[in-house]
Amino acid sequence: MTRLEMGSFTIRAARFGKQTEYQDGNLTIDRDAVRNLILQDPRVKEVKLDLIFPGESVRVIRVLDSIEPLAKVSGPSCAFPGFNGPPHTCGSGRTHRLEGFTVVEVTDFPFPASGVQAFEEGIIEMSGPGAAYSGCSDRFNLLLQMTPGAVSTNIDYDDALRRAALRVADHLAGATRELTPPKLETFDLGEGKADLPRIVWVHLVRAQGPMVQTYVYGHEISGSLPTILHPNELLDGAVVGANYKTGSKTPTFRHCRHPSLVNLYERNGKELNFGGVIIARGHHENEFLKERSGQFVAKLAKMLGADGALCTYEATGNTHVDFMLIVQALEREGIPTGIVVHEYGGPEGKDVPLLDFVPEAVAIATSGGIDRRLNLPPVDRVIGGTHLAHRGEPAQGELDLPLQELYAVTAEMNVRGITAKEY
Amino acid sequence: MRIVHYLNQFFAGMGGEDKADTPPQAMPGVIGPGRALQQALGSEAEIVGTVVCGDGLFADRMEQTAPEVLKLIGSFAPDVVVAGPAFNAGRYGLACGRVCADVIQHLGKPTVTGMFKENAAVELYRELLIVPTAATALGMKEVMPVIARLVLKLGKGEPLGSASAEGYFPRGRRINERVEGSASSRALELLLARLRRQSFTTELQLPKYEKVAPPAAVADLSRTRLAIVTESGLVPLGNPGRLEWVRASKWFKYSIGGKKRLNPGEYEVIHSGYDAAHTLADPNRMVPVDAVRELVQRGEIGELLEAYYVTCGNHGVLSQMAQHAREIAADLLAQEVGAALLVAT
Repeated sequence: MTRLEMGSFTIRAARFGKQTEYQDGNLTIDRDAVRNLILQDPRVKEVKLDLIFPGESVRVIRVLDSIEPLAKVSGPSCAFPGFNGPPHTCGSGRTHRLEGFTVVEVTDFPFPASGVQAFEEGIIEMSGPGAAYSGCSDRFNLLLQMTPGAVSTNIDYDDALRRAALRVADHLAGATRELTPPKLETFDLGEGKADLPRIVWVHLVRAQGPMVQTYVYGHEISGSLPTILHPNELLDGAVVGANYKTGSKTPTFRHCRHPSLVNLYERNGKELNFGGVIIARGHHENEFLKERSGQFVAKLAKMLGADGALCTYEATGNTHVDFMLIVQALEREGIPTGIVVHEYGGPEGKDVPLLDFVPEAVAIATSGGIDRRLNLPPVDRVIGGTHLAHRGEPAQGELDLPLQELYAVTAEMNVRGITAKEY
Repeated sequence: MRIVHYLNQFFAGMGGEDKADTPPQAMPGVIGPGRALQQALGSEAEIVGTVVCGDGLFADRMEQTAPEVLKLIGSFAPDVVVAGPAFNAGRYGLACGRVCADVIQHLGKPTVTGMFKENAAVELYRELLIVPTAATALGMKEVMPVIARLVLKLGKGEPLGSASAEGYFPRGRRINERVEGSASSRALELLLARLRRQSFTTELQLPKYEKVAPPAAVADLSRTRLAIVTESGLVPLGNPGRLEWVRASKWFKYSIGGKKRLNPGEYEVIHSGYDAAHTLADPNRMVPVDAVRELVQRGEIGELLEAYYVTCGNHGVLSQMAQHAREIAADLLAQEVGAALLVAT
């Protein structure tokens, strides 16, 4: 059986210093080593490093992915396989992680882009009312502010910066390789208990094309049919986020320890048998492909012997339709679902909350309305640019915007226990 | 805290259907169910007056009667007004709804009423604070404490909690709140409850959508003026109207006067929800002026309106989009357009 030991080194302070090392919750980062890891690829011309902490009056714009550092200490494959090593099956042996710490990609793209490939801002707000919703606001963050080098396209540059950030993640977590972790968890699905229901997690991720993509073992999921992952593979970084529709994106650190995965593991062997993860692509181009995908999810769930399916999805509209068809296919296959949605409903919550649904969706938990507005007070410091990408507004002053323009807000609202209630 | 209570003739003890034409009248203090309400309110609030009107009169001559009732209520200078509860009585429910709506609008004071869920006024006066009741007055004893609790909160200016927490019918707003546990863990609880055949409550009732009936086919396209309408966010270069890339609050009509086709380089796409490369390479693939011109030339379409209509559908707020649609449709009709080619993304 696949058994993963995860040693967690909680970060309580971080600074730059001579050598990258971890000691009693303190992370020291060798700035030159990190710079060299990034600049070894000529596609990145320059990088500026910054450390930011919860509670600081800081706003970060032009944020792409964020990664909680993982490094494989023993056992097969590596963390973030397909990027930091060959696409060999991960999820067993021992992995170390820097808990509560994230490597954050911050950049503009070199070439003009329009439509879905245009930059859509996701704002990290480290303090004030926005911090209650914004991804990374409760974490220690190393910001990699990169500028493009010798690249042919935005897609080329995107590839370069993702690989750079994952190398940095490996370097930082690797500093704990010889240390005894303060916290050691063992992830093992076990044999399963006969009297408990078998529950699978359906993880619908978004793949619309470049800039709105999800990677599995180093390759985009776009062309893939729904497939099965062991939850330990996600814990080890088999899924890497590259969806820059930034409010709606699931960052890599959330793919690794998604609240669905964490909850299913916590209850495994007590209330349920965790039957595995079905990962499926969202944002299929047409009804035919959406139906085909839904049928495959239901079939895989059945083959896994599922008695029920916990279903979540990464926003937004188009993927929501894929999601509802998956729910319908599962229910029609006789596999009851419990599902998570996020809502629209307009700035006051008076409009219709869902854009699509199926009558089979009867057990819904909602992570709240993402288009409610929030007023953000001015901040002392803005990192990543001077003006918001889409709005063109100066970024440092007061901002009035919908929640969905905050970084990774849909995933974050799920994690932080936000819901919407009728008034 | 001064409370005024509105009742119909029946609950005021004046008689049944035979007294349904009882004119509006005011009395100091409590009458009938007001006693139970006063008891539930305790010493913090006093029912200073009761206003009564016959259900038949109120329903038949609402526009004259409602202002009279409002004036009588206002004469007691209330802090909070309670109407009914009306249970499943149809006309009484409508009267309670109207009285509450008038009090809020004209006196600026909060109100509480109570009704059975199938009372037509519940849907009609959805934005009011209405407490669910039993179908008949047998439920009076249960509902009065709920009404009283809400009255005291309103009178003290305390914020109300959610509909389920406070016990009133949802008023059509959903507000974000923090609860125990991630959404994933709560969905898992719901699923496990289903599998254990225990009761469970979904956090989101599925919405109801208005059904749009497909219109009849255009009788004779060769005699019809056609217009092109799109939510694709295709705008002239520079986006002169500053159409928003999400949640568009505007729509625009841009001239295509005389153009045989839309030229690349003269347009941009501000919609950020689809890959615009093909559209930018050839805007006619989104707003097909070239193809329609050809069909006009062949006599298959009567005429092309020399302007196209555009908004941006990305993250569109439904009510806002419906408003755009009504306005665009009215504009099309004013120009005797008989068919719209609706190009979606």
